[in-house]
Amino acid sequence: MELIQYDAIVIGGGFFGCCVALRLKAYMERVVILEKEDGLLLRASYANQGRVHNGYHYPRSLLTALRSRTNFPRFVSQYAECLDQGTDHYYAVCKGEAMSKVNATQFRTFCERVGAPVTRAPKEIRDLFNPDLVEEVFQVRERVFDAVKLRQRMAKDLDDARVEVRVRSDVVGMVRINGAQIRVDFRSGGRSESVAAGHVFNCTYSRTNRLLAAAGLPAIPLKHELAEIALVEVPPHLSKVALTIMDGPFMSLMPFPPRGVHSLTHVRYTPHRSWLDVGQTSVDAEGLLREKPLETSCVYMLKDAQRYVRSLEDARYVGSIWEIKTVLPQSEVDDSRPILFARDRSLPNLVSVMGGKIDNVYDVLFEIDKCFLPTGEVRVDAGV
Amino acid sequence: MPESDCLVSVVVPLSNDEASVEAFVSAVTGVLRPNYAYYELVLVDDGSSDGTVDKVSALLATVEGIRLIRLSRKFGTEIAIASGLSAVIGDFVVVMLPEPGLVELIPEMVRRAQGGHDVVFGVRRSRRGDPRWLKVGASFFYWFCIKVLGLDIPQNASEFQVLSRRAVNAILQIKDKYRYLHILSAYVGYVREYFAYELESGHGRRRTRGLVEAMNLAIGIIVTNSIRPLRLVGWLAACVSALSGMYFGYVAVLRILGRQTGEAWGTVALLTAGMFSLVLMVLAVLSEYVGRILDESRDRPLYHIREEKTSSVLLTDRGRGNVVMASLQTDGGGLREASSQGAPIQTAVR
Repeated sequence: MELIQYDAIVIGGGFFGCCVALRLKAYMERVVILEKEDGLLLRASYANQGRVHNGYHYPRSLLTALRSRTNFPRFVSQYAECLDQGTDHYYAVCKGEAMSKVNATQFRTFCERVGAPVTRAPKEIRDLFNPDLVEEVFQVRERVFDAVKLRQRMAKDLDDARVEVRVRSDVVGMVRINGAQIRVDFRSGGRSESVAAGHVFNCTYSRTNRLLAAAGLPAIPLKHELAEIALVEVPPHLSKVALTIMDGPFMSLMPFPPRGVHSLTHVRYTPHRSWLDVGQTSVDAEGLLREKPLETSCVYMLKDAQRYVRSLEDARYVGSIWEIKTVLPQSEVDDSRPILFARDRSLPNLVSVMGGKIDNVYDVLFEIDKCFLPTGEVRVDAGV
Repeated sequence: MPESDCLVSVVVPLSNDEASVEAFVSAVTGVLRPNYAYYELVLVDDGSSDGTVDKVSALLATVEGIRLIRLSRKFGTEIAIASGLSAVIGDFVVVMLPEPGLVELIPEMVRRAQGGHDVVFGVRRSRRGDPRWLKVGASFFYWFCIKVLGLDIPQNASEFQVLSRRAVNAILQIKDKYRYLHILSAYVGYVREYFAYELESGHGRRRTRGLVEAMNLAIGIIVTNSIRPLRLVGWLAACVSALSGMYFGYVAVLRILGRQTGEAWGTVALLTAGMFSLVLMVLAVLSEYVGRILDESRDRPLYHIREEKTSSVLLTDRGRGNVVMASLQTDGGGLREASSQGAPIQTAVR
């Protein structure tokens, strides 16, 4: 069996994997991405609401909010053509009786503290909401990205940078060879193949621990959820509107540009099942997704959403996208969204990277620079 | 709304129900599961000090469709129900105490609500099992409220009720601190129906009120919902004041004419006693109302929620029968299939 040699192997061709590969290319010659699916950005990078965070979402985690504030302008300028145009973003703050963890004054103060632009929403938007449940509605500066445009952009960037991409390549094993080298075994079109490199990056999100298990390494504590994003057609006056209700078991409705509809998620109804990785990976997450048919919770999401926004009674369900959502267990407590950048002592040149938000990628790139730049130097360019 | 899309919520206030909550939950879900495609059971813990919350938390891991709302302390049954009503998402909302004997009646009650009645009152056909004083007291109370005060109060209505979304929304707009759900349900109007039921023997009321509690409840209901008692004592005071004015005139005339007024001490004692009893009665009634005004005028939230927990098993994952799936497809009105972009992104289509 032929063993092709690379400088770095990135496992997982989602947005993070692509960005990591592009950044690695700045430091080394031969970089390859191994992607299990038929193409790039087909899994969690696609199956999410496409929110480019600007801090508003984390009134209870100042650090996460500040990181988002820093990363937002970088993402927006770098991927300008992948962003949805003309959508107005609103955050409605619920009343305490309706179980909100922040009130309007706190939310506004928080936004001012992290420097996030916030103004009272115009009357026609405020009037959409039920005043019994919603205390105040704010207009904010957030964006939605189009996952399909982002996919095309990443494919082009990788092509330009001459990063090799191998799709339908399902990694099944990893072993250390010749000292600092790692051999990665994968199955591709029914054939077993192997590649080797001095650096391997595990950017597989919900499959992070599967990969670690394939390398014979202990699992990182991760929490997974089988998440449903409902797709709905909204009445015309909502077509260019993104609504998020804060801060509790509430819903969020945003345009979903790849399909020309809106995506609807609900803190209470989007997670269908959740589990922790304990020791070796125990739940077959991929199997859960194949389990057909997955029953939608859209009725629940819509019924609750209609309590807040009456005009959603005219929304029409068109389908759902399902994905395994993965978070670090600590995020459950303080609402923070730190990135994971972890290596095991026994195989230090295998790095597991995981983040919950697309704009977190700059934190990952910063860590990569720290690994490869000579000490003391700092990369100044924001781009990949 | 197609009936198959109808979501039924059940609101149950819990207070130190550690011993019975598991049996009750399994009884309710046993009724809801075969009857409704979409439902939720909202349990409101009204500051229980026993293991109620632990018991329910354990159920959340295995039983689907439960939400537990924990109030920050004990607020009372009516406030607990109010917090549940503001949290439910259902098109029809069943309100009940954790009395397993009633759960069998849920489908029939909901059917009546679906038939166009916004408020379906559960009414106890007889007060069997109640002590005699309570039966007599209750009849007097209802007679007084309905005939004397002209209150719209559904007779012998229990906490067991079904409300439409329209009625729930109307009730939620009433911000009264003293809440009596059956009176609010009657007050908001809409179409109502009475559903008489008889508890099977052995399935008695969870508990019967004591004398003091029953009296307080009766006074509370009257003071909150009617100002006629004020008017009554007002009229009484006016009448007595007229009488005493006449008596004053009589005494004055006698004195001017230089006549004796008879044995003075008897009259004085009678007058003093009579006037004091009247004044004190007026004061007692007034003070009840003044207290209410103070309570109602304080702009405080009705309750505080400590946390909400939800079943970790979602209702929609339990694999519903094909019957429901089939009926959903017929009334879906052209739901189209979501394409999955050629990838194993999973798409659910109804």
